[in-house]
Amino acid sequence: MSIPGADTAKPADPAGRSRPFFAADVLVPRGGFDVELSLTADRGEIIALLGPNGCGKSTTLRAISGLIAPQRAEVELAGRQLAGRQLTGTVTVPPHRRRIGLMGQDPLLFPHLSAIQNIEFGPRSQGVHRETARRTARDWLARLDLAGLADRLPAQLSGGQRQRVALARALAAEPDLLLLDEPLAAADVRTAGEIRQLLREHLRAAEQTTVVVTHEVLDAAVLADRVLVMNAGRIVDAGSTERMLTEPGTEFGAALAGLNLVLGAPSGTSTLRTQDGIELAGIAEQPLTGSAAAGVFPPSAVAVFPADPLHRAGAGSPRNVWAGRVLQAEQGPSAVRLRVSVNDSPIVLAADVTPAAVAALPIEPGADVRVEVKATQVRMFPR
Amino acid sequence: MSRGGAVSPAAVRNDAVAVGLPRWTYLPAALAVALLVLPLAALLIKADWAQVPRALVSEESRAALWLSLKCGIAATLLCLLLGTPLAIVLSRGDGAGSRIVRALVTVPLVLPPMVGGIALLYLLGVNGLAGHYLFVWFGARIAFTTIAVVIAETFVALPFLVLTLEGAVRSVGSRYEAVAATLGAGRWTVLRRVTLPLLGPAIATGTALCFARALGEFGATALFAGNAQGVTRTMPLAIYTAFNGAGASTDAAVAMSLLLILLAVAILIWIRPRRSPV
Repeated sequence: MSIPGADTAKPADPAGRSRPFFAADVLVPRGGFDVELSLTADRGEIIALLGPNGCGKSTTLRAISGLIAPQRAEVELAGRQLAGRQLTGTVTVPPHRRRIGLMGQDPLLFPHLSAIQNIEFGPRSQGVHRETARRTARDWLARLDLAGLADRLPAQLSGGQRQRVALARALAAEPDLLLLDEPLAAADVRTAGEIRQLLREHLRAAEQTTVVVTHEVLDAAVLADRVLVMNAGRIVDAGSTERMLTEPGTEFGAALAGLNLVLGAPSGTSTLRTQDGIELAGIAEQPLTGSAAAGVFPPSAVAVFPADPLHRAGAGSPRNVWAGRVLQAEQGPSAVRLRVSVNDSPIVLAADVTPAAVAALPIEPGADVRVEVKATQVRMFPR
Repeated sequence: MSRGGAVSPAAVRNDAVAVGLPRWTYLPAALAVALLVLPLAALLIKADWAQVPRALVSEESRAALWLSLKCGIAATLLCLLLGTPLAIVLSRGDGAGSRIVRALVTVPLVLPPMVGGIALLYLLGVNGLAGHYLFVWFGARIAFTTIAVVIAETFVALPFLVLTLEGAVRSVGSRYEAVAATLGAGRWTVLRRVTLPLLGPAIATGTALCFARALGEFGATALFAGNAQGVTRTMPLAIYTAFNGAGASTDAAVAMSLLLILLAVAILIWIRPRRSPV
């Protein structure tokens, strides 16, 4: 290749076989354990890397973006080899040529630049003409409801506004891959809900291939197509978000995820109806709109009682009351986890009940029970 | 009123109240202030103010003032040009090499300036290590010229700039630079649009300190550049000369001293509001 800089952009697979849009294989030694894992993503796919603090999630992102030098790294993105071995030697494309954006919990807006200057920083740095960059930035400001704040300095913005500007700045740079490192960890509850919603909308709308790192199951539930569960530097479980939340393949994944996820169509601003006609009420951060919604709640929010012939499902005052049948019971560290089918539908809920309550319950498989879920503990999201 | 555990007004305003000091510490503290302030006060009180304007417009004074400003500005620019990159480079390094360089850079701070002057002569004097060849090959003389003044001032002022900036670069950290890189900014763009602007306040402070130090430079200049009126006799040298009875009068020495005090105070006032953290 004779074009300067083009040596970094050789097609990864001359044979033209179908390769994943993004593939990374990294090994980073750390104190205590090595971070060693492989990731792939299709174009426009959103992947959540879920794991406890200190398990190597951020290290993985920094290795992919080229901000740290891993012991081994093979990174391919959009048909370009960004790091790894080639016939001619080892390739390492510097971070600014990777087209990989990185946004963390601290928005890190450049303090000396206004909101709009922050957003146009990416396009300008990539050589986009001044006026074009300004138009792009205005466009992003409008999309994120920041139009009136273009000339404010970061110090004059609220925490939520700063996160919005940071998101606009990351997306305006049009990265092939966006890495989000605990984007909501530093935000207060209200701001976190708002940002989560924004991410959900704009990542989908922009068909932005994204890896989002989080220790919060909710983020994965709302944002991701696929969840990878990580522990001590390795991926220990992986699968579609739905499967990972409802039937984690490992105990570790279950302890971490282990949420109930009920999918359906909105039947009110904070209720949904499943295909089988089961009505679930919850709390929605934003009124539910569109054609699909999800309700997420922990097993501890599910109460199980002996079947009461006098109490017909849905007839009493508490909402979210159904007839159920015990499928499985399993002793956990502090509670007994039951798997209960609801109204003879395919929906299976996980319920944690205390050993004391178990004594009064018929928990052998097949037993009929009454299931109640506290609406205040069900978080509803559009999907 | 403050006896018996009553809350003092200071405690009302501030949540964190320092543990009380033993009374006797105030005595040496007051002496320290007196030691620093009284000489200047004496100078201001005893000065023959009627003579000051005339002394300042004398040719001798004007030449010294003009030379001081020229050389001070030139030395400060040189410090900025060389010191800023050095500070950034030093802040990136954690190895033994950068520790050694940092120590070496600090030496002129603790060195008597006279010694610095002698050292400069041994390097750049006509018989010096490098000066000899400069003279033999190019016929260039550096010692005892105005250029020597600038070099001497740079020698003593540069550490102030480097140390001020290096601390700032470290506290600004590389996180903004990493973000800029992930947005597609190359190294030069990052330096120009992120690193240097973030260092703005520290550069202003460092520049002011540097300039003040250059203006007041005496020892190294005296030995390396000499004391020729209009060529190397800056204000401090002119003050020294005048005070010793040669050239201008004592009045001129006092008048120029007052001017230097004024400049120093002006610089300090200029620095203050720029101390805001990034």
